[in-house]
Parts: sequence; structure tokens; C-alpha cells
Amino acid sequence: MKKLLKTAIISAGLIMSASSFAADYPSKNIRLIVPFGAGGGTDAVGRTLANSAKDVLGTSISVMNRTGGAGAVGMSFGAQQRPDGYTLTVVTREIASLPQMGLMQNTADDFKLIRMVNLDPAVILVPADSPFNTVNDLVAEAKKNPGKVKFASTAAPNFYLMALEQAQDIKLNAVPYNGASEAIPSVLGKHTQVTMVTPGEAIAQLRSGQLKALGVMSKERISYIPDVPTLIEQGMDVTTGTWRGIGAPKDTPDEIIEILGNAFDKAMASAQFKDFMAKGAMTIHPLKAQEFTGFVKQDEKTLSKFIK
Amino acid sequence: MFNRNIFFPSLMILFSIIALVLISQFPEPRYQDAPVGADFFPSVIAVLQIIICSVLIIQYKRSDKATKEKPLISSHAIFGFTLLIGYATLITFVGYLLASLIGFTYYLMYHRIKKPSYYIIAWIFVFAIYFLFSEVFIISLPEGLLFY
Amino acid sequence: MMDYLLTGFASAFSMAVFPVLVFGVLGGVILGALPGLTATMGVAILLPFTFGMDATPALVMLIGVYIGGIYGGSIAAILLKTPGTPASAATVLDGHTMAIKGLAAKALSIAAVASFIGGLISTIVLIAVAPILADFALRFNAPEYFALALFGLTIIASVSAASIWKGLLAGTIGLLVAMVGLDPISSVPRFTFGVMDLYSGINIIPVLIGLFAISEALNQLEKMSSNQQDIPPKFDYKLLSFSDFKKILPTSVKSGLIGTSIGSVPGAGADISAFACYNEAKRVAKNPEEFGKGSMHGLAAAESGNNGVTGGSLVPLLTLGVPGDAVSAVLLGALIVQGLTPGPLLFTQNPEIVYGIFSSMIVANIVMLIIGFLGIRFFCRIIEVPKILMIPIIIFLSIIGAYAINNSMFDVGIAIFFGVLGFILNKMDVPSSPILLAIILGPMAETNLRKSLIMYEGSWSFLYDRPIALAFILFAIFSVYSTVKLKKKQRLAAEKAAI
Repeated sequence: MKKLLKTAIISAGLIMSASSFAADYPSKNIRLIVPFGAGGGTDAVGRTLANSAKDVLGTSISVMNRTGGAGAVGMSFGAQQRPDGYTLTVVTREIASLPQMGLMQNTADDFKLIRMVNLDPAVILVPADSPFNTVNDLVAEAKKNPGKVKFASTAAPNFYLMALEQAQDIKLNAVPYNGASEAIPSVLGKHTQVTMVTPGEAIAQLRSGQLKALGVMSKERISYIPDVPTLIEQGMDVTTGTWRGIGAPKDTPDEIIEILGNAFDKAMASAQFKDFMAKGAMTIHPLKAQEFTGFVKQDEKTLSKFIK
Repeated sequence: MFNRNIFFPSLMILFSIIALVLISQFPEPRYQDAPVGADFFPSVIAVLQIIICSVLIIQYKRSDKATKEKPLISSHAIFGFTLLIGYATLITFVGYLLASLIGFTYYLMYHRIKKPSYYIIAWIFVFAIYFLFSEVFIISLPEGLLFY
Repeated sequence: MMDYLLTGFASAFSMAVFPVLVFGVLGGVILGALPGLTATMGVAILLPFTFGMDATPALVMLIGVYIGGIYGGSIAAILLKTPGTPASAATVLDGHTMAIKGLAAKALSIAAVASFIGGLISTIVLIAVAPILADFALRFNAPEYFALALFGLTIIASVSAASIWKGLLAGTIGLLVAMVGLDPISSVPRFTFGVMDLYSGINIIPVLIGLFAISEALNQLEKMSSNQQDIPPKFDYKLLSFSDFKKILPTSVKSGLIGTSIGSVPGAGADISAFACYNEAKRVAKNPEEFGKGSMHGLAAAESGNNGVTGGSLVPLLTLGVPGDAVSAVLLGALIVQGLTPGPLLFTQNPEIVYGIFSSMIVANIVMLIIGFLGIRFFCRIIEVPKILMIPIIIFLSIIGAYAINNSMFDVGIAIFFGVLGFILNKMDVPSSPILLAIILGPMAETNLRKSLIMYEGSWSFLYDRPIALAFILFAIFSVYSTVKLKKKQRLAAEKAAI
């Protein structure tokens, strides 16, 4: 009943306002839904981007945290809002993985993707005094003692680890932790031997030398950690990482997507945003709507190999 | 006769049994094999709950049962429940501001308050909170399905 | 080090820093006092505003909100029995009872003093031995967290005033509630019935709001309407006396130290600390039967315990570069945005920032104490607001608070459900605090037990071959033993009195 009423109201609103939509957009405040908690990495990126984009758009963007189900609740909520361009959502890699795992009803197809914001590779980390010095050391040990090397996993299932395991035909003992902020102390305290996080999540420990990076899982080296070789350089063709972007409900008019896309391009090029990302060791990867959509499709395929 | 000291623990035992049935239907995990599964903890708790409730029933049967009882739910409590649920429903439809004004006024009228100062304080409070949240904390309050 | 501290103090009182510090503490007190708004939220909302500020004032403001927020939660807990944050749930036990007796001003002043002592001790310990605490924190992993949670769960017995069995029932209800959602280890949905909003489990804040604020409002509504109103106590503006201060000092100092240690362990926060300190104060008290009936020691322990966490939680942030709780996660972000590297490098690269933070924390605690005392007369006015107006205000604030924590009407439903549940359980003499404790500690116990078993490949040997874990398990056994002994003593005394 409630749903029916909601649909009725939404469609009525659509008909009324469809004609006058794009001309005076944006005429009121925009909401940006962040599917993770206040204070986390996704939240910080969302808030900073909102802060930079508001000057370009000339309207304020209020951030709304809607957490739960590893992002599923917030992203589903965002997909089901009115497609008028006044509700946007930060989409993360979970939009590609969760639906395939049966943990989320909406998929990337329920969004019109506007821009990709950042793409960060995973880095393989061990304590500074670990006997492992290259990824090959790690793989050799894992081959010798299958399932014995203790891996601090930032999520379950861990797609970073699965990419390496499948490519090298190895098996580690993955202990599931709740995010990088738990996995890193576990490795520092030597309760586990190795972990994989993004450069930004471990930049403090990398700079202070508490952790040692064995390799970065990107195509090319990362500017923040220029001394760390890629896995490709070490003879393994494995790349993986995580990404974030901005999406709108799928029926949002193209003109509005266009306006927003241009605004986010400017926001991502702004000094404030670039500075923020550089300090957080995150890599801005501004893909346009079309490329971003293609990228997500590709990633869905990659992930489906791990999700049987 | 309805006796809450028997009824309530029995109800909790029933809940625990339902929980145990639900636990037996948990799907198999696909990604992580663990020595202790997803069903272990809930099962232990449900069984503990059954034991605790049984003890409570036995304890009551052994006691002298002479304690005077307060009525469980009065009509005023029912008013409270309806106010809560009505207010929450109203928020989903008309948003915070209108719902609070209507809810507060209705509440005061229900209690047959005549003093206008009470109504004015109530309305000022509602607007003050609205201002505090939207302007100072920048938290968007519910806007309601009808208006946004 | 002393030089840096002195420069720090000078900068804390400078025109660029002092006003934002006061603003932060005051804002934190207000946020903390409102149900549903937590220190974490306040800090996260303010974060983007710090982008344009210099490093020291930015961090000082955020830390001010944190310190003020934890104290603010206790004002509503004492006066209205509606704890603003889970950290002040233990404050209700004795603080509100004191207020009912007409000792609201005294309770508020004890809370302010105890919070100050807890915060100050915590800061001093942080300055003096942060690296040692960091080493302690790093030794914590799944087995230790499991043992800590197990120990925490034994506190249920000691906060169950009337009947241990009813307290235990409340505990199992809380534990079952905590099981709702995706299982944290293998992502199996449990008791979710396909409802998306339940996948992430039941949020603790709406439960807290329901169990304490809404159920209390319903309770008052019923009392008021049926003319069984509590006789308004003879109001007393007397603050704590010097002899009271001397009495609560040892409890506060000890609780401050316990709070600092708990805070320094990532993942264990002010809520656990407040209950643990309350439990410990009750264990060593000369008159443990006074606890829950307006004991100054109980109030001081809970308040000093939760503010003691403030310094401790910065230990992992400053020494390891990892956040110890949600607030320090935001602080980590703030440091990074300022171009600083949290962790050990900060001490060598930017000592002026580190010691600036330390001295500002001391100043912030002093400001909190002053605001606390200046505010007492004002806060006490809240009690004088007619009940008929106060009740709907509490109800509306509760509902907005439940909504604001996650912008979700679903959470409002949760708060109402637990409000009604708490109201009915109250009538059955089933206490509410164990439900809260169980929801906080249940997932911690389960996740870490299962994590430990994965780490040890199915062996249970972690229960005895890790000293810290073993110590907590022994504490747990001892805690149960002493509660049982105490109850026996009380029963014997009651029987004697009956004869």
C-alpha cells in the first residue's frame, strides 16, 4: 500500500515537473547519499567532493549517511529515490559485488553513473621485520604450507586476496577483520602475517616504516609509493583495487546528468579536492559517464569469477 | 487466569524455540569456512534463554505469590503508544515540521490544556529544533513523501 | 618535552585557538545532551569546516567536541533518565536516582568533577606513557577481545538490581537482538526475514533511545495521568562538598586509569569503560547495596570511566596511526587533511602539534569543568519544566534523534519498538541496562571467538596460552564469584532483618 502510494506520488511528480526540469536545474539543495558511516574514507571523499562541487553548481549539497549491509542499504536507497537530480549517491565497488552475492537487490543498472572519482589499487603489506621481501617470497611460503599463512582480511569475502590466490593457485588462512583499521594493527602486532589495503589506508604506517609493502596491484607504480614495484613487474599478472563514483537514479534526464557531470569534472579538478586526495594518498580517476559504466560492467565480470 | 509471571517467561521460551527453528534454516556460508559456524552463538543464547525462563517460572511457583501487582498497561500508556506510532507515521507523510506541530497540539488538547502559553512554548520548541538541526548541525530532517 | 607542553599551553590560550576550543566543548556538551546525537557525529559534521583552518585549532576544536560530548551525555542521563550516548547509560543507574531524591545539583557537580578527573588523568597518562600503552594495545587481538567481552558480560549480574535471573533474561534478549543481521564472519543473514534494513544489524543508538528515553517518557505519562505522580522532591541547589570530593577522589582516579587502558585498546570504548568502572567500584565498595540507589561512588565511577577514555583512544592514533574508535577515525582524517602523518612520525616531525593537542586537552577538560559548573543552575531548570510539556519534548527529541543517527525512519521504528518493550519489561522488573550491555558486547564476543578459532585453525588453546586473554577470563570468573557472594550476603542480611 505504502509502496503503491509512493509510486503514485513519484510518477505524479515526474509528469508535473518533467518539462521544466533541466532549464532551471539546480533550483534547490542536492542530497548526496553516502552508503558508509560518517568519518570513514568514503564519507570523507563524499563530503570533500560535495564541498568542492557546491561552488560550481551554486547550490549546497548536504551529505546524508545511510549505512548498513556493507553499503547495500545506502546504495539501494539512493537507487530508489526520485530521478530529479536532487538525490545523488556515492557508488562503490560493492555495487558490482553485492548483487552477485545475493546481498543487494539493486544493481549498477539501477543507476545512471555520472563520474568515477577515484581508483585505488591494493597494496600487499607485511610488518617491517617480516621474512617476506617480495611477493614471490610470500607465494613460495604459501605454496609450501597451504592455508597456513595468516592473512588479515579487511572484508569477507576478500576480492583482493581472491585475485592473488586464483592467479597463483595458493591458499592463505584469511582471518576476517572489520576494515583496514582493524587489519593493520593485527599485522603490526604480528597476530597475522600479511594484509592487503589501499595506499591511503596505510600511508601513515608506510611513511613511518612500521609496515613494508611487497607490491602494489596496479598496472603502473603509484606516485605516493614510488619505490613499491607492481605485481606485474614481479612476474604476476594480477591487478585489483577499489573504486568510487557518483550515480543518480536511472531515470534521471540526460541533460541533468550532463550538468552534474560537468560540475563534478570541475570539482575534481579543484585545488581543494586534489589537495585532499593527494594528502590522503588516493588516486583521482575521473572517468566520464560512458567509460565509467563500461568499467563497472567489466568489473562485474571480473568479480563473477570469484563469486560462484 | 492471566498471570504475567508465568505468561511472560513462557512467551520468551516460545520465542527461543522459534529462534532455534529459524537458526536451523540458516543458509550455508559460501565464502568463509569457520570451525564455529553462524548458528553456534544464537543456538547457545536461545538455549540459555529457555533455561533462564524455566528458572523464573519455578522461582515464581515456589514464592509466596503475595506481591501486589501494578496493572501492566493502562489506557494512558495506550495513548502514549498511539501518540508515538501516529507521530512516526505522520512524519513519513508530511515531514518533521508539520507532524511535530500537529502531534504536539493534539497531545496538549488531549490533556485539556487551556493555557495558551503552553501551546506557544510547544510551537517555539518545534521550530527551534528544526532550526538547530537544519541550520546549525546541517542534518536534514525528514521531509515527508508528500512534499519533497 | 616540558618546553613543548608550555608552548602548547601558550597556544591553547591564544586568540586563534581558545575561542574554537570553548566553542567545541560547548557544542559537544549540547550535542551529547540530545538523544541520538553523539560526539562521533558532531566531529564528523565539523570535519569539512576544519579544511580551511590551521592544524592546531582544527584538531583542538574536534577534540573539544569529543570531550564535551561525552560529558554532555550525562546531563540528560541524570536529569531526565535519558542518556544522550551509550557511554552515559551507566550514569543513569545512580545519577538519576540522586536527582529523584532532590540532589540533582549535587549529582551534576559530581558528574562534572568526576569527568574532569577522568579526562585529566587520561591526558596525563597519554602524555607520560603513550608508547607503553601502544604496546599494550598491539597485544590485543581476537582472543583478547573475546575475553574482554566475556568479562564485560559478567557485569550484567552486578547491574541487575532486583533479581539476577531477570537481569540474565534481559542479557539473553539483548544478545539475541545483537544476532540480527549479516553474520560478521561468513555473511550469512540471520533473523533478517529478507528486510534490507536488518542486514547491518540493529543499530545501538535507537535501541538506547527506546529503552531509556521513550520507555521513561511513557512511564512518566502514565504516572502523570493517573495522578500517581512522584512528589516533586524538595529541590536542593547544594553542590558537592569538600568531604564528598575527598570521598569520590579515589574512585574517580581509579576509574580514570581503567578508562584510559580500555580506551587505548582499539574497538573498546566509553560505553564498556563506564560499565566496567561501575562494576569495579561496586566490587570494592564498603556499601555495595547503595549502588543503584543514588551512590556517589557509582556516579563518579561511571562518569570518570567514560571520560577516561578520551585520552586513551588517542593512543593508537598518535602512536600507531590507526584509529581506536569512530571519533579518532575522524581525527585521523583531520590530521591527514592537514598534511600530517598520524603515527610515531608525528612526535618527531611535528612535536608542536602533538603537544599542542596534549595541552589543549588539559585546557578543554578545565573548560568542560567550568561549563559544567556554570551550567548547573541552568540545567536544573529543566527539572522545573512542567512534566506535561517535558514528556512530549522527550518523545519528539527521541524520535528525531533516532532518525538523525542514520537518516532512517526504520530506526525510528526500532526506537519505538524498544520503547514499548522497555516500558513493559520495566513493569516486570526486568532491568534495561543488561540489554544494552549485551548488544554492545555480544557481537564483540561472537566475532572474536570465531576469529580466534580461524586464527588457531580450530584449536581452543588461545583461551589459556595468551596471558592477557587468560587474565580477562580469570577476571570474569572472579567477577561472577564476587557478585554471587555479595547477593548471598545481602539475602542473609535480609533474612536476619526479617527475624
